[in-house]
Amino acid sequence: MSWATHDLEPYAIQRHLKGKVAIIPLLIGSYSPDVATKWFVYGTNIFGLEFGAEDAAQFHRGWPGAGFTHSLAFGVVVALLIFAVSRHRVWAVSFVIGQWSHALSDTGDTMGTMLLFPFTTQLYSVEAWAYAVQVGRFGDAAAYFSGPGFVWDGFWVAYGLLSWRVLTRSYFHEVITQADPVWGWAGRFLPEAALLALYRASFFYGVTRWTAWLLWAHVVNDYAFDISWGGPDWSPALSR
Amino acid sequence: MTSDRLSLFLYLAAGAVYVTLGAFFPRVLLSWVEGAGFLLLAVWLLPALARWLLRR
Repeated sequence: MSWATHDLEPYAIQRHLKGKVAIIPLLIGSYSPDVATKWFVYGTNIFGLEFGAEDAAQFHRGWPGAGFTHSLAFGVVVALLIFAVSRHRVWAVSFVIGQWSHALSDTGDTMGTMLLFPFTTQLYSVEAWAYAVQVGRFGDAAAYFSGPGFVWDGFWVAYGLLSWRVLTRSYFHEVITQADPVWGWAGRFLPEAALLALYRASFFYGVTRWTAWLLWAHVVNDYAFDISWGGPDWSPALSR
Repeated sequence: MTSDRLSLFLYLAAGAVYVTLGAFFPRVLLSWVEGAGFLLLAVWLLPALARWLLRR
């Protein structure tokens, strides 16, 4: 999986497609493959009871399991539902672009995604960085931010910072609010400073947590960097 | 200080605090809602509260 990439890719897409996409459904699409499943993949404790998938990787990326959320067809089906309910073409298109960006980005890890589900349950992967959800959130974070994964995220951090104009107040008013009436509606209840903070929140979250996880892994802790293909070698990576 | 520069300063300060918190207490990095809530607090609610107190 990717970490900060899913926060930052939508802003890069926004930069290029401008008013043809709306940032909110773009971000929702980008988060959608994992939003309902990630807690169960890593497991959680509620009032002393443990909840979690017996086989985290199978549940996350496989079938039977919730791996269909990482397929291209899932994005199309949800986008059609959005269009059927809202009749808002830009929302539907934005959602599918966001969801596809997530599904394609996650082909970078050693597990890969069922891109062509339901036609096949084949997992497609370029195996660039270790997929390690089975060791829990922190073990997974340590592996991701020590291997090629952090470089992949770093590319999007750098590209996001180079695209800083999409974060300006003028861009927000001239492009973002024009593409999506939700911002005008929200502006009846919230001041401009709050709207801008909400618009920039995923960018802020992506850049800061990429930085913080790197510091956690390599300054607070002492995990070894290994950016060899499929690395880090010290992490138990799962593959197709 | 212009409002744009003040705004940039608030975002940078919020980022520095969030990164420091996250590096030592990484659980705060796991929730988008908490991250967005922290940003709203830092760049909107607290400055608005400070302005209100200064006007009184």
